[in-house]
Amino acid sequence: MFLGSFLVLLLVVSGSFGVQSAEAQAVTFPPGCSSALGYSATTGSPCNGTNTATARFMTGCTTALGYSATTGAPCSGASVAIQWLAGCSSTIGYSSVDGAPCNGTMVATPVVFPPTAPGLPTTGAGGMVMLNTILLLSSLALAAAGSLYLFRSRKLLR
Amino acid sequence: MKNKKTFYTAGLTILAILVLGVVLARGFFFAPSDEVDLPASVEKSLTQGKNLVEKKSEDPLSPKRLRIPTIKVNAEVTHVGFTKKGNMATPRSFGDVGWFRYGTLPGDAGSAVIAGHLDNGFALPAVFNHLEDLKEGDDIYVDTFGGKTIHFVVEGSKTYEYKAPTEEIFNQKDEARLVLITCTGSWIPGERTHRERLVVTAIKSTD
Repeated sequence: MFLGSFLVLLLVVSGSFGVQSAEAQAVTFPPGCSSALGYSATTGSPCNGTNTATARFMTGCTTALGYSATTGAPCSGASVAIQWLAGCSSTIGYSSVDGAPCNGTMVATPVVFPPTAPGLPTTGAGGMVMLNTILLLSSLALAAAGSLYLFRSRKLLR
Repeated sequence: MKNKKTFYTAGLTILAILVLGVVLARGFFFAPSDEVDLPASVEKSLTQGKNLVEKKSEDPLSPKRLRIPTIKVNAEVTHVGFTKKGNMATPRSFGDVGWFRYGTLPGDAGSAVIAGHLDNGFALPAVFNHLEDLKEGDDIYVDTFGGKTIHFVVEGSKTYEYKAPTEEIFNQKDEARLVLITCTGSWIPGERTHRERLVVTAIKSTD
């Protein structure tokens, strides 16, 4: 029971820290591919997994991100649309997977860091109250139960 | 068998105590800052032409304490830079405020920007919890390391969406302004931030 409770605690922790990466990239592409368009930068094989590579952009698309303006199909060349190319966490700079521009077009948005005016700061943590309370109470209960068990075991050994 | 069970229980108990310690520390004392160290060349270019010597945190002209009697704030001013996303970093304590050290010095022409937390990880009030209560005409004082006190008077406040362009907040050049920032609005779980920022602007007093 003790182990089970701790697994629940670990699941809560890992779940809460894993949300952002799952949202950022829900689909994977072959090695060396940042989308299903074109060819792999490492193997040279078509990135769509077939024998014939998809043209650079789908019909009605000016980038590999989002959906086609004319057909409504994903512009990534895969069955789902992507928010960022693989190897990108924004539309700025180049993909770490295949070096493609992260904005999904032929020309990358240059990285300017630091910017002339910084973005607004993150000055509140109150939204974490639920997660923090669950973690606090769970770890407190587990620490107390574990200590009690160890205390009793030691007593029995004597 | 018994010993094995005791061994595992001891290990898990220690782990639970560690988790407890981390949650308490992060929730109450250590605010997430995410500040990054800039390369020396970039740091130099940002501080060039300013009175302040780079990274010299106790320069006589730089701010040491912020006092706002109306909302009972008397806080240490830490000096903050950028996060890796290019945002202004924040102080590592929920009780301190952070001055953007690559921007204007308080009292110089332009906008000196200071940020403070609204609440901590358990939703308890932090240093700028009552920033919204400031009204036009309220006094704000900035004490420098050199022993000088600069007096500002609140001019007004405005809310911005958290991703809004910030040129008008950071780059005002006409008058000596002090800009105070904290979070407001609803919480966005996916982004782990509030939807808006409250920005209070004050003008240097002529008295």
